[in-house]
Amino acid sequence: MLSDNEIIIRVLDGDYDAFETLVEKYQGRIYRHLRKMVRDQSEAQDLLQETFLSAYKGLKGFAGNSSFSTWLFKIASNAALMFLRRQRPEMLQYDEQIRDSEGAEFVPASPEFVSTPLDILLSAEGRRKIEEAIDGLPLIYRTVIILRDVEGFSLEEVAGIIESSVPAVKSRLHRGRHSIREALSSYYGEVRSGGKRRALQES
Amino acid sequence: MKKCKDFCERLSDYIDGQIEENICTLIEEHLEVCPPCALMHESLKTVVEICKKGISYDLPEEVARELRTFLRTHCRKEEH
Repeated sequence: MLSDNEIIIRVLDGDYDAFETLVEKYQGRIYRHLRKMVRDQSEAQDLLQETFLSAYKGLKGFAGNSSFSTWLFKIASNAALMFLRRQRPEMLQYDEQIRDSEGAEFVPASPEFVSTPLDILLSAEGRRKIEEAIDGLPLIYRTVIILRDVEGFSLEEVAGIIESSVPAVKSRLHRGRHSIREALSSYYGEVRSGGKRRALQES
Repeated sequence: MKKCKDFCERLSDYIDGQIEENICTLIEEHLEVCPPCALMHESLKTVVEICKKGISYDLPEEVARELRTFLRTHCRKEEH
């Protein structure tokens, strides 16, 4: 199988089919990232198209200093940020959102959450709760959680993608993970107290 | 690091393998004797694990098809 850099050389030689190979390889991940950033399926679809068109146009400028995937995620992240700046500037007003999510790290851990079996945590209902917990985060936390914990980029790569520093990424991850923990702990605390157990078992 | 709060503030970095070896030892020793911090550590590890495994969007076939058509139309106008 060819590496991304080998495929890029072919694209730059005029092989359009090679570009489609790259699109097929990354379209799912980029779509997921955009869905989480803008929280809207239709906008994510438009941004997906914009991202790959920008990548195609800018491929000559891809210097290979980073991996193709981090370069592509950076294009997608910037496209999403520009869209949000234009259409939903309130999503970029972080102060209030961050204030709301502050203090999550001081909420004690819940034994109910930790002792819930993985197959329940990853059931259809469990996945919905993870989605809701991530969607409830301020954008700056949500973005690093997706890039680091969902996509598996290194801290340095995440910092490069969002044009920030590694310490800032670490701090946002810390806050974001605790906010998710708090949301899920609260939910599974209620589940174990009886109210939602049946719904989970049936999902 | 003396208080539980100090340990808890480092747990996210600890999970990411971003802690110096001597501090790692301190954290590990503390987790062995402090059930609330051990529970916090397990909770955060669970969060990381389920985020990794629990978020999946299958790209709808229609979205993939429209992307292909869009790119074929617009990229062909560009030359490399």
